[in-house]
Parts: sequence; C-alpha cells; structure tokens
Amino acid sequence: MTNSKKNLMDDDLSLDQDLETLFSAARESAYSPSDALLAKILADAQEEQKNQKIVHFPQSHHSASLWQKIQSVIEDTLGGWKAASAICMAGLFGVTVGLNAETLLSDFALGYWESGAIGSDNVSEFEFSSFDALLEES
Amino acid sequence: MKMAVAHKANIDLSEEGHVSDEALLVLFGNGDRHASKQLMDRLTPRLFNYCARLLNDPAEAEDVTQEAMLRLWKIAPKWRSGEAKITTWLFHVATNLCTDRLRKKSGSGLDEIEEPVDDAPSREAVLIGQQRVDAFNRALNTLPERQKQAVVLRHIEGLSNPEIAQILELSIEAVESLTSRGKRSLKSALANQKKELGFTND
Repeated sequence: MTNSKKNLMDDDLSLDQDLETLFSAARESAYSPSDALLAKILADAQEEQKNQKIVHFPQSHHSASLWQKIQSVIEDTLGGWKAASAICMAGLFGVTVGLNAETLLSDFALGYWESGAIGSDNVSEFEFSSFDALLEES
Repeated sequence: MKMAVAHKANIDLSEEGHVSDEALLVLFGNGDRHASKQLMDRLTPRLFNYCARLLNDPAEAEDVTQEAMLRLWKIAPKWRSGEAKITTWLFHVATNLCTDRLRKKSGSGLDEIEEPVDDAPSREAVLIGQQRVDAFNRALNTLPERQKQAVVLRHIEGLSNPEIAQILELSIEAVESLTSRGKRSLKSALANQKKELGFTND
C-alpha cells in the first residue's frame, strides 16, 4: 500500500471519528420545548378530550340514523330514487290491471281466445285465426 | 380488549415508566388527563428537537410540534393497536409538516436557509464547545432535505433504519443510501474546518 493511499484512509477514519464527536455533541445540545409550548399542548389535549366526550352523546342520533338507513336501503338495493319510483309505478300499473281485468282485456285478446288457436300445433293457423277476429271486428 | 389494555395501564401507572405509549393513548381516549400529561412529557422533547433541526427555527418548530401533537390527540379514539409505533407515526407526521413549511418558505429545500438563529442551546452545548455544534448545524443545513431527515433520525434521534424507512416512506436500502451520502457530505463540509474545530489527525 502506498503512503498516499494510507494517508487518505487515515484521513477518512479520522473524519469518521470527528463526525461521531459532532453527532454526539449535537445529541447533547438538544433543543428543549418551552413551558409555553407544553402548556399549549396540554390545553389542546384537554380540549380534545372534552370534544370527544360530546361526540359520544348526540341527541337526535336515533331519528337521523333511521332516516339514513331508509335512504341507504333505497340507494343500495333499489338503485336510487328514480329506480324506486319506476318500480312503484310498475307496481301500481299491475294492481290496476288486476282490478279491471275484464274491461281492460281487448277484443283482440278475446278474439284470440275464441278462435281456438290456443292449443293448436299449427302456428300459421293460430296467426290467421287471430287476424280473422280483427277483421270481423272492423 | 381495549378496556383490558386500559385497565392494565391503570395498574401500571403507579409504577412510572412501565406503561407503553399505546396504553397511555388508550387511557387518553378514555378521558384520563394524567395520561395526556405523561404522553406529552415523553414525546414532545424528541419531537420538538427533531422539528427544530429540520426547520432550523425554534419558533416554527413549536408550531409544528403543537400541530403534530394535536393530530395525535385527535386520532386517539381511532388508533389501531399494533399497526404502528406512536413515535414512528408522530415523526412521520412531523416530517410531512416540516417539509410543507420548508417548501412554502423557500421553494427549493434547505440549501438556501441561513445559519441558525438558535437562541435556545442547552448549557451542555456551551460546555462541549458551541463552535463545534454551530459548525455541525451549518453543515447539516447544507444537506438536501431527505438526506438531512435521514441523518437526523439515524444519528441524532438514534432510530433504526426500518423505523426511518417507515417514517420517510422509503425502502431500507434508500434510507441507507441517504444516510451514507449525508455523512459523506458532512465529512467533506467539515474537512476544511478541522483545525478551527479543534480536531487533529494525531
């Protein structure tokens, strides 16, 4: 090993030791928090503890959560208010048809029934007989 | 489970120093004022020291320390046991707050920040040589932001590389590289001042 290389290594080692000394000096010369800062932190802690207690006892929690539950069921299972309205409309329509079945059944449907096409194996016969009923009507 | 921890912590509170930070935080969440005082006494000095070094400004470090502690008080009821160490979480929060402040201040990191306005050195610092401490601070303030954070956490706060990796959200290898580059830069910055600082090769 040449002298210059050895000197470089010695220098580096010495710098490492110097740096360690400085780290240690820095550790010992730590910045200390002021009493004012500690008082502020403690006041924040107490304030936060008070707030956390208040949050645990909301008065109108029950009615609000029931309504929120209904809303969330509509949103989650039915797909929102629009979808829920469409389902209601379809339901009402079904009930109306059920209650007024006789008057709402068209002559077309009656003709269809009377033609005796139902039960027939022949599709073309089935279709023509339905048209016959229509023609007779007009 | 939570109550069990708190109960255990209550018992341990009589024997100072045996309660974990986590148990104290649970007690704090249950409204125990003594717990908040204990947590503050344990955590604030290290946190403040770290912030003061990063920001190079004790007044700003006070604001950041208070903000980080406030976030701890707020998260107490939701703290998930065993997920992270409280100190790691706090250093992480403080690092982000300091970074935000430094970026707002200079827009280009720590290199442009002037010498410390340090008005609160401890008496020990005077004994070991204020000149050395000042020189070290000056050299530290020339490091890029991430290198400085890693060096302070490793060599001043004495944290392990895995802990630093969590705080800075980096891999352990990246932390090792940052601290090693930081040390190299510090050495080259101090190499010219060996005589003035009283260091010799002998």
